[in-house]
Amino acid sequence: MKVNEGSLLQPLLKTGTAFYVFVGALLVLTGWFLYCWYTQLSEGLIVTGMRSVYNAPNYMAYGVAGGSPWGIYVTTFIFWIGISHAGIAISASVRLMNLVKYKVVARMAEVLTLVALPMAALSIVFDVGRPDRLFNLLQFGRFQAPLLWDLSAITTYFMATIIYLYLSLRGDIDELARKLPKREKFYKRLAMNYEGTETDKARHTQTLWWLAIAIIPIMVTVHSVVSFVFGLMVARAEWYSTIFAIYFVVGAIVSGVAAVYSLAWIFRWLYKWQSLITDEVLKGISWALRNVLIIYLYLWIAEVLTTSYMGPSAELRVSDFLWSGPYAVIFWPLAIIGFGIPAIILLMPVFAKRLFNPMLIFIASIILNIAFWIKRFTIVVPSLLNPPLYQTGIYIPTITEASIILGTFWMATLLYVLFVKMFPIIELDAVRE
Amino acid sequence: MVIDLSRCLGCWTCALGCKAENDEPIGIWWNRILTTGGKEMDTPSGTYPDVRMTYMPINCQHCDNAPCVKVCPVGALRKRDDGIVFLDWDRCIGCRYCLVACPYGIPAFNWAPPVQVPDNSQFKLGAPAVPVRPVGVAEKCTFCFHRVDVGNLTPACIEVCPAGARFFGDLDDPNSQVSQIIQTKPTMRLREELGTEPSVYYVPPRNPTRPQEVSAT
Repeated sequence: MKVNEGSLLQPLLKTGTAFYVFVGALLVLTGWFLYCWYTQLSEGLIVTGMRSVYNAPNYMAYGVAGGSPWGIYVTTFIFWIGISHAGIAISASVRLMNLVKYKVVARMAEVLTLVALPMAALSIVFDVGRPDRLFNLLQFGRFQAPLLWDLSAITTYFMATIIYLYLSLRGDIDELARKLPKREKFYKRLAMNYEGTETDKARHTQTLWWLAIAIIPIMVTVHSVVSFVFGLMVARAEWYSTIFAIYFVVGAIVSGVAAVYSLAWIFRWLYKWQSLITDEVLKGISWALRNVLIIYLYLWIAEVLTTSYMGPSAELRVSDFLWSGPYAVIFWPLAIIGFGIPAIILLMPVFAKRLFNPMLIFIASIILNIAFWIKRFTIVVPSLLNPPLYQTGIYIPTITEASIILGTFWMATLLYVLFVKMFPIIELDAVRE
Repeated sequence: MVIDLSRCLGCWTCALGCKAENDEPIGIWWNRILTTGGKEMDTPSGTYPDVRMTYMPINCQHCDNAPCVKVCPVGALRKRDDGIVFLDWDRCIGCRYCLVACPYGIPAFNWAPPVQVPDNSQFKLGAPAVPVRPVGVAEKCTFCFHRVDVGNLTPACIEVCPAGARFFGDLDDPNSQVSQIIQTKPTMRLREELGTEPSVYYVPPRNPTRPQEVSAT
C-alpha cells in the first residue's frame, strides 16, 4: 500500500472553516440539550412522556392514565450499547484473526466504542428519577439485580476499551510527539515514557492480543445482560423468552458494523482516502454486515412467529398492538423501509458483482442504524403499554425528552471529532504494512 | 389479606382511606378498584342484557416471591420477616424497574414533586409515621406496617371498608380469620401461574346480579 503518511495526519494538521462551523453547531445543540436536562432535573420526570398505570399527576380522577414507565431513554441506552458493540469487537477480531487488510478501520471502531459507552451510561442517568442517589448503586448494590449486571459489565467493558485503545495508540502518540513539534509536550506526556524499542513494541502487541481475547467475551456479556433486563421479566408479554440474549447480541453486531461502515465511508469521502480504505475493505465490511443482518432477520421472524401464531392472549395483545394496532404505523415502515430495503441493497452484489456501490451501502447502513433505534423502541415500549390486568396506555415522547436524547448524539459526535483532531484515526502502522 | 369480591361494592372507600392514611399525592393510588368491563369507573362486562358487575380491588399483593424485590438494584424494596414487602424511599434511585417487573402494575412513581390535596401546610392528612415521599422515587402499599407494628391495628383499607369485604391477618396462623376463610371458601390469587406467590387472596363473586332478574322481582 503506497500512501503518503502525511495524508494520514491531514485531519490533525489542517482545520478549515467548515470544521469550526460544524463544531459550533454541535456546541449550540449541546447547550440546548443541557437546558432541557436542567428542566428535567428541576421539574422531575413529569417533563417526559413516560407514565404508568393509575399514576399521572395531571389526573385527579380514578381514570386509568396508562403509559410506559420506560421510554426513549432506555431505548437509546440499548442503542448506544449496540453501537459500542461492534467497535472494539471488530478491532479485536482484526487482531486475533490477523486480518491485516481491515486494520485501517480498527481504530475508528475502537473510538466508536469509547464514545458510545459513556452515552449509554448517560441515557440511564437521564432515566432515573434520582440521579443524585446513583452512588447508592455502589453502596447498596445487589448483584442479584439485572441492572447491577449491566453496571458491572459496562464499566468492565469501558475500562478494557480505554486500556486497549491507549496501548494501541501509544506508539503513534510517541511518533506524533516527534512529528508535530507544536504539541510535543502534550503528546510526550500522554505517551508516558514510551521508548519504542523492539521489545517494547513486542510487549505491546502481546498485551493487546491477550486483551483482545478478553474483550470478545466481555462484549458478548455486555449485550446479553442488557437483554436480561427485559428477557427475565415474567410479568411482561413478548419479553419473557430465551431468544432474547442472542437476539440482542446479533442485533448489536448488525448496528455496530453498520455504524463502522458509515464512519469508514465518511472518512474516505471527507479525506479522499480511497487508496487507503479501498473498495475491497468496504466490500469486506458490507459482506459481514449482510451476513449478520440475515441472521438477525431470521431471529426476528422466529420471535414474531412464536408470539403471534398461537401465543397466550397477553402476547397476542402486544403483537396485535404492533401489527395492526396504534403502533402499526411504526412497525410496517420499520420492517419494509428500515430492514427490507437495506437487506436488498446488501444482497444485490451477491447476484451481480458490479452492483456493489459503496455509497448505496452507506445509505443502507445509515438506514439500518435508524431502524435499529426504532426496533429497540418497538421492543421496549409496546410491552410496557399493554400491562396485563390494565387497559392499553399511550406513550408520546415530549420535545424535552427527545432533545435530551438527541443531546447524546451531539456529544458523541463532538467527542469523536475532537479525537480525530488530536490523534490519527488510522493506525500509522497499518499504512506501513 | 383476603378480599371477598362477593361483598365488594366498588365504592373506593378503601382507596380513599389508604390515600388519607398514607398521604398519597395527586395521581398516586396505592389501592385501585378495577372493573372487569372497561377503563371507566363502574363499567359492567358483557353485552346487554347479559351483563355482570364485578369489582377487583387491587393493592400490592405482597408476593412471597416478589419480582420487585428481585430486580431492585439497590435493595430499596425489601421483604420483612412477616412477609410485608416495603419500599425504602430514602434509598430508591428511581430506575422504575419495579414498575416494569411487577405483574400487577402496583408501584407508582413520583413523576413530579408530590402535590397533596388538601395542601399539607393547611391540613396534614396521613399518619405521622408515614413520611412524605420526594420527587423521583417509587412508592407502593406497605400493608400499613406502621399500624400493624403497633399491635391490634389493621391496615387502613380494612378499617374503612363499609361492606366488610376485606380481612387482614396472619396466613401462617391456621386459626386466624384469613386462614379460616381460605379453608372454608374457594379462593383465588391473581396471576398465580407466574409463581409470584401473592399474599392477597380473593373470594370470587357469587352469581352477579343481572339486570333482567332485578326488573323481574
